[in-house]
Amino acid sequence: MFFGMSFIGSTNSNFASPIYRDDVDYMEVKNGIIDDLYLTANVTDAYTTEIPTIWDYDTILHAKFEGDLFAGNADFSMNTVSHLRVKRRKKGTYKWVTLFEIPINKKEDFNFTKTDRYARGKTEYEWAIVPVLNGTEGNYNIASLTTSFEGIFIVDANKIYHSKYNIGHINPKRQKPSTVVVPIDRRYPFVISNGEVNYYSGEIKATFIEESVDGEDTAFNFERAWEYRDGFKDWLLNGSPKIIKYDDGRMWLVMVTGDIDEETDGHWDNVKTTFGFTEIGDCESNQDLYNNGLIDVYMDGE
Amino acid sequence: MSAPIITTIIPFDAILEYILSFSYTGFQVRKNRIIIKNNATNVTVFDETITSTLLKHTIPANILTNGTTYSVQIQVYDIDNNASPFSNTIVFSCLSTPLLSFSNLNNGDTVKESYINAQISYTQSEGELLNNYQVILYNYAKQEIYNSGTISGTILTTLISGLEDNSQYYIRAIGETVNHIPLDTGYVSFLCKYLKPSTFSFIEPKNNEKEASMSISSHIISIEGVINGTPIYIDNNMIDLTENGLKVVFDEAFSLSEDFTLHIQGKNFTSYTDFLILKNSQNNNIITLSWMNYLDSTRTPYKSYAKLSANGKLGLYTLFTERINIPSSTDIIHFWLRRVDNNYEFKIANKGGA
Repeated sequence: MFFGMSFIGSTNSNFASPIYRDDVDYMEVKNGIIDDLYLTANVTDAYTTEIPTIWDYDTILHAKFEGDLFAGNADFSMNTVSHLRVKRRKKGTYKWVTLFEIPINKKEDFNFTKTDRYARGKTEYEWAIVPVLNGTEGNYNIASLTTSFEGIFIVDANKIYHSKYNIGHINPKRQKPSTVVVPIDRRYPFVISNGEVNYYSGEIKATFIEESVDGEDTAFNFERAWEYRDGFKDWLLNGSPKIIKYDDGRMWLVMVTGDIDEETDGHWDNVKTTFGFTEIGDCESNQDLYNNGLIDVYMDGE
Repeated sequence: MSAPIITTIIPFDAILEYILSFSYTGFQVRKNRIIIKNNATNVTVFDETITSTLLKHTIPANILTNGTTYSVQIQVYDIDNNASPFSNTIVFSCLSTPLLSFSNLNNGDTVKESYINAQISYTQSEGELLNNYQVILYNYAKQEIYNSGTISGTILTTLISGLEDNSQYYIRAIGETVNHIPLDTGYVSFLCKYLKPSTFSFIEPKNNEKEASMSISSHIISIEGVINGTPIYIDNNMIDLTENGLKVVFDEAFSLSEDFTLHIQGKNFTSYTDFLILKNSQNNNIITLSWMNYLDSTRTPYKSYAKLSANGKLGLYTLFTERINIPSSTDIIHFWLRRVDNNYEFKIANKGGA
């Protein structure tokens, strides 16, 4: 006791944190003329009286009361937006290709992740999310990135096969049929090239094998490699269009044509698979991608 | 002796003069003669010799008739009036000038959407069909930014999207008829200006090297407050909640579980009342910000401050800002609140008149 008092003697005298630290899921403002209300998870920036104007990944809520009560990073609600479109274009060009159209029926629909499998390698692209309001597209919200991968990929909407081993030289042939007519009374012949036919065809040769990567180590499944290759060949020959893309940026929308060959090179586990392809459409065209079952959204004019 | 050669003649409008060119290898040409016959009746409609060393002959306007097919031959003469053999016979037609235009867009129009569905109108009096065309979009400097590529003449609309708000564009269509008559709408200018649903959502692309794909993520957060009355906005950037009982509540799509920093600013706060409440709807633990006045000995307010109240294990925890001079009715008061672990910082500032 000290002067007859035990002022640090009660049960809760030595609590380090006396305030409840509960989740907050309700906020109410009143009793004033409110200009701005901003909430962020950032607790490291120095004190300032300037309210941030940029929405970033720490921002939780920002109500500006500019004629509405929106406090998110979108000044629309699911009642006024019917779809969001995801588009892509090569940076520096004008033409967008619509890849996805997401219907908005509930708030959760605003947050999504989509996979774009049909971008070339070593190419800087821009992607945009575009809100659609009664047929009118809103602002294009754009971000850009340069693609990067290694080896050769053959993909469709559902499967991906990949190789970076024993890739043969890929030198596809550009085909444009023409006829040379040799007249009698002229020195020079006529070259007749009717129509717009102009496409690539070629051959891919590489080793396709199932692999698993653990950090720096790669393990190959040699035991059932023939099964993996059989599954690959079944998929190649299923009659559906594919996208072939090479890490240097070349890409084609193709059908697999002809036979599929295999050859061993020095060891029975070192098998190279060879198949032919013929280009059947424009891999950068929304309409060709849609008509060949690679995307689900059709946009007239793209 | 060689004969002149006439190459294919694309149909032309008979009401305009036409310069017919030909080639000739031989003596130096002093004169040339052109004979044009009606191809159906073989009647000669035009037979003219001119003195000229040029390998061309002008067919005057209105000598021929649109909708008619003709045949033409040419022969040339040397200085001694020796004539060459007649050239090959070329059959050609005269057709009225076809018109290619945009039916839904005039020069100087304002387009109120981010896309344009350009509609092509084609007319030709004698039934000459449109073969194909292209639609080209240019920016304000007439630099080409989009080309539709060749479109069949049976499809008369093309969609161009991605137009930017408040931007000047030019659009033009060029094409040809089935007999290769060139067509051109010329540059048609328009301004794109639309009321748009704006969003500053985040789009985040990520490179997935293992699958040679890009994942595209959106981070759109849609939070909308609810008011228990009619909102009154001031200058379209503030809301008046001074009416007794009127409040705006945010309780959907909003959750705060970590440390946070909060900014709130406004004016004309009602003395001795709460202006902000944060709450956990399950257990009702509340953080309240209140606007207070400091009274002098005569109980006259002479300073203002804000008070934070929070539920704690020891009862109500309170924290006060510094005191400031009584603000005027136009002064914007800024409050800054930070919670880190269980510790709060709470500051006030007068930012002056709005």
